[in-house]
Amino acid sequence: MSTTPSSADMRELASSRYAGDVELMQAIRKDPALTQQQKRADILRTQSTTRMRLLANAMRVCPDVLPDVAGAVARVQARVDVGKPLEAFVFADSDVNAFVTEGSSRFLVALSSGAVQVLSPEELEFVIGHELGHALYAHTEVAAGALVESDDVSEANTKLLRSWQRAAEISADRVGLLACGDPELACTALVKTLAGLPLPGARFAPSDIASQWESLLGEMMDAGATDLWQHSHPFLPLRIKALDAFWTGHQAGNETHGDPETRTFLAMMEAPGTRSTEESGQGLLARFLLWGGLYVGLAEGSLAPEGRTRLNALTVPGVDLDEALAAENPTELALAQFRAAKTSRRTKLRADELSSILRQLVSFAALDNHFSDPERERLGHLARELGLGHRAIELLIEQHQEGTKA
Amino acid sequence: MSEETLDTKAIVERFAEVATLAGIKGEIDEDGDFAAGFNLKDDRSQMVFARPINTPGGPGVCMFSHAAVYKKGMFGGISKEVALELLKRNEDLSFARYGVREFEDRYLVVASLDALIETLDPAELENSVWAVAYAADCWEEKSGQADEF
Repeated sequence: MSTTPSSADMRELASSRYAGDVELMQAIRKDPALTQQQKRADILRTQSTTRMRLLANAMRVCPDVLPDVAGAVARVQARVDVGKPLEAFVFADSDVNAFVTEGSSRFLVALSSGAVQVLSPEELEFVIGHELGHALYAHTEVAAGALVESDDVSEANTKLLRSWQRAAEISADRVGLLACGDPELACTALVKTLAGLPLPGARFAPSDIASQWESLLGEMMDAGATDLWQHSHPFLPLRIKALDAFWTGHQAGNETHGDPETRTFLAMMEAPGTRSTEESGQGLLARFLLWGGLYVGLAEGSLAPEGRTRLNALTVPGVDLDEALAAENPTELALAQFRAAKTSRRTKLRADELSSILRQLVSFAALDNHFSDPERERLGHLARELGLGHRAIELLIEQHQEGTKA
Repeated sequence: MSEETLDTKAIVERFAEVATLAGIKGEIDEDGDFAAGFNLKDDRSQMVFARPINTPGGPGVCMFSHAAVYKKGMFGGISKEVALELLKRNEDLSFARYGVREFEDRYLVVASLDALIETLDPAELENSVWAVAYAADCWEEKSGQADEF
């Protein structure tokens, strides 16, 4: 459904920001080591020559030379007030790309020639709105790229910065969507970016990319790709899913704006063992947690309601928990699927992944504050399936109980 | 990576986590090392420690166990025969090495083994700590010293 955006809609922008973006940005600003590095980056930014380089190597957007682009910029600018003048450029690059940077007195938005050729002026409004979203939410104040490349930033902080960058892209996409006012337009812009093709007259809905997303999710889980956390941007199909979740919540007047679903999607690109994956039980290990959790949860005959809620929240492509529970022997099915999750992994489970799986399964078994003998036995069985001894589970249960007491 | 940037606490915590998966219970001692006890044959026992180190491949741990103490002094220290025997035994060891650590008043013979923390898995850790414990105990027994460590 398309709506005509107005500046009044933009008042919702503050509340539309993805909560994960806000939380991670706060974490970055609280970190003393990153604050120190940020100060150095701020000094360098005051000496930035980006505008000079754009004026030298790109075409400044003006109605006479690039009327369509100038029109799109003007329309978005009227809807998204970033508090400073805006100057737009088009630079020569066949990729569909864009960036925003903050100068001393203005924001500079640069669009690649590939973006201008592939996207319609209306679709460009999504891209320009996205870039202004970065400006609006002060994303430009954190020199994440420079910090990540610095030798003085720890791996843990590099992971934090990358997580935030991906979360910031989600927020910026939301502004892009509100700026163009049409989820299909936004989706089409992202699909065309994926294909790098103009596809004249084509329009795409998020449902058109759903099966590609499911396949991608399955591949990511099988690959166990632990380097996904290094990406500064979420994968485009993930962004489409996140935008769809946002828009659905937005239209329904839902205050969460699709944030819980978005967290689930983004967890797939997090490094294993990070807080966000541990807390949500999401990420590339979700298949182990779902089937392992079901196997342990059925240890005493039936799945408790709180266990069911926990398992239902896990995102595993092509799996319906109700169907699994209705199977002739759900326990055998769960164990077989747990084994299949291990077999289909193309890379060996790392120690931190093994730890994450078992700790979360132990925590799952303890939902009723009690470890029954059948639960202990099944946890031990799963540990053996993962190549570990029963003693590992005993120690993890002991540590869990000590942690609970503390 | 320089000594200053070695996150020793994170390395020891990671080691402790992998040790748990290997079914090994230990604790972090006052020196910040991971320490765990092992029961060997004939009621003998051995403590094994893990200490963060820098390796050419990145942050790692040195797993070590004390084997024997040789006090310094006119009639003390490590004799040429003992040193030679240690070297000969080193050649035969598969997953550990003997070495000598010097202190003000004594020499300490240790069995040790290094591993990268990033790729350390439960099976490797278990094999390594047992190899170190056996090697240290073997020298302790050979040297005629009481089961002190």
